[in-house]
Amino acid sequence: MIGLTHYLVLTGILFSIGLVGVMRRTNLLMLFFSTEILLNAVNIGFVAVSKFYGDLSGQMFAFFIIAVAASEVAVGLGLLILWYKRNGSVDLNSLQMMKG
Amino acid sequence: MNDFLFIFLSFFALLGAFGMIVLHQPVHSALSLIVTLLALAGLFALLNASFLFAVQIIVYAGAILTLFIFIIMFLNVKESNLPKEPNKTLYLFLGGIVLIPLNLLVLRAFYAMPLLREPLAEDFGEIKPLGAELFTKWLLPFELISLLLLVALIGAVVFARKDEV
Amino acid sequence: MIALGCIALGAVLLMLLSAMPKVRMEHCSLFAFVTLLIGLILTLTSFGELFTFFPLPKFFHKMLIVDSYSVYFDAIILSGALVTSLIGTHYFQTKRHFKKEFFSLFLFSVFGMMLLVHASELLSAFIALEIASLSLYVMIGFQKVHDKRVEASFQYLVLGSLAGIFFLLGSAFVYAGLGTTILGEMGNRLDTLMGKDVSLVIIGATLILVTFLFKISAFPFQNWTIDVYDGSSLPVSAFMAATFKVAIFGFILRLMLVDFDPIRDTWDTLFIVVIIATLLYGSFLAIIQKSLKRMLAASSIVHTGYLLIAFVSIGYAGESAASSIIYYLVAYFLSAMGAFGLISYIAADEHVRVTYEDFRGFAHVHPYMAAMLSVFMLSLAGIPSTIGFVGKFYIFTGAIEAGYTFLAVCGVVATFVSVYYYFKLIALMYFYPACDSDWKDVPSLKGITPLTIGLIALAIIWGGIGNTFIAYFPGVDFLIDTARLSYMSLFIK
Repeated sequence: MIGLTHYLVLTGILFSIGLVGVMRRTNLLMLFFSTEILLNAVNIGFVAVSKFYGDLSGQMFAFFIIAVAASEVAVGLGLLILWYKRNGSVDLNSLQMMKG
Repeated sequence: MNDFLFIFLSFFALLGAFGMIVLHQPVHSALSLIVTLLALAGLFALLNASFLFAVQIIVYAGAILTLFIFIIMFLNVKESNLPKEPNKTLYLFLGGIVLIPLNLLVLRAFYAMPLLREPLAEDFGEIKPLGAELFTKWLLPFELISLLLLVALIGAVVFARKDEV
Repeated sequence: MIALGCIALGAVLLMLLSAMPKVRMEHCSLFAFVTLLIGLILTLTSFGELFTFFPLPKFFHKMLIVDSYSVYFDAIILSGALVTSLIGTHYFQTKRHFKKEFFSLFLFSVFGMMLLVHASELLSAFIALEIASLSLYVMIGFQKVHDKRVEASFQYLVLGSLAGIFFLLGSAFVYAGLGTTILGEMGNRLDTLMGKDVSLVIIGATLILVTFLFKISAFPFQNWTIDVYDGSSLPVSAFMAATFKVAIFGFILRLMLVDFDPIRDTWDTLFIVVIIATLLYGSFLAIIQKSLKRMLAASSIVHTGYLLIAFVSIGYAGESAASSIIYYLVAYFLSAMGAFGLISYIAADEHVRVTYEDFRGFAHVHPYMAAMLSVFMLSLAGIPSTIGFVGKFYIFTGAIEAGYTFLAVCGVVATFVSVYYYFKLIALMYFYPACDSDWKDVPSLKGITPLTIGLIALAIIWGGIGNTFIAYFPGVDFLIDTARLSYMSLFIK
């Protein structure tokens, strides 16, 4: 029988994959994709917990997280286009000061 | 049946996510991400979240990913302009290994946690109770989200328009 | 509550107004100022009273809380925004590329910050945080002709959204452990679970803390601070340094004091390590900077360290530590605002004057400005007879009272080190002959911006002298008393 734990394991693995992607890829587009993976990992966790408790709050969280993701993507991609037009690069290292 | 579906869908979700971080071309990654998103939509349906199932497909896989692919096409990044990432696979592998203990820690914490389980209501996750909850209890976040989207809109306009000067 | 609505309404109205061709920059700036002023007046009407309630419970269901605590923070945030708009007047007028929408975004971010201290539920808090940060990202990148601005904005956005995800994951764990995300109820559930293994909640709360440590730029997450502050225009850096930090402390204090009170001891060791590292590394960064703006950014990391000292001592000396944080936030806000504001005023014309060397012999040419700048530096360094000293004094005595003598000693050492990089500027201004460079482009002391800066300088001295020499002094003691009161309002059941 598949229970809450399995879903949370899925959350954990997906989150780790996304985190590795954020830390190790230097393509700026990839950074946004990894962020989406991270958000989705959190979402599936919320919905699973929501079913477990029989409480709709978790689904609400997932719903709002999608909206937040959309707004961040809108601003982020705007900046990305601006950056690409100016520098012709989507390399993270083209951001001179980004070392951390 | 449910168990089989869970394994099937989560396999594809993980495969898509893995493909996304390993593939070199942004377009391939984006397509791989769609696989993950669709698989997760299926999981939402398994978890009685029918509304989220629709939202995930329409908004996420439909709108956001289309936006991404549009941007990729629009930028038309040449192969030579893609950042070179030597030892990428090795780094990804090492990163994965580092994160395993963290996962185990969370899992252990989860098993140790005394949880109070409540019985599931008959119509749990259906659209009617969900809508009622959204517009009564969660009215404030709902209104706030509209403001957030407004700010994002202004931001996108500010960044995208031409400077008049 | 009404103030909150007033700001939101003003922001939306301003957005609509800015589309009209007839409306000019000055009108927008004035409109923003008036909105903030009305908000502040509305806030001050209930300032200094002890109360707590949930507004419109029928609609908002305990998602929003109004108490003396949040009103106190509202007042700080609003006056911060007000001062920003005053000291920025000159800057925004002389620099091109600031469009009318800028002020709308400015009001939106103020709204987000106020909402953050009013939030009584994790999701609302997250959305408030996002509103504030998203408008800040855009404000930073507003002058998109400069690569530096776009870069700073991009860096802040990428790292900021990553930090936000940790907040979400943390709330997912807390929700899994406790089954609710409403502040207050979370605390009650946690109380019933005491004695059992609650490590899931602890992990979740730690992840939430990670986000906040990032936003206030504490040790492992401080790398972005200097670049982003340096990359943004001066009034925006001032706004970020002084106001955003206040709002974030406002929320995290509420979360820690009300809800995670039973498990707070778990983080003691973690915090001690973080504080020492923050103080050490921040001081190191501040010493090696050549640019004044980058030095101020680095020193803001050190000030975060002082604030965190008070934060850990809350466990054992609750009331005095909490009110010392609130008081120190006011002190830091005044000094940083003054320093950033004056530098932005001096740098407002085409010649950008931001390195130490640029200020060589400044006092001989512009004695009044040099005097004000010295006052701000003295206050940031915490020299007696300034408000910065009083703030530090409360924090260190609180730490000793709570038994963290070692941390207090570290703080004092960091203060001594800070004297080096703050006094370097004063020494350069006063003890060296004026350099050859032309000072003609420095604007004279006229208009609203220098007046505001002068008032801030007076307030700093007033706040410092009052408490040191006279037992009861109106203003300062009132601030402290209200801080105590607002702390008490958190625990009204």
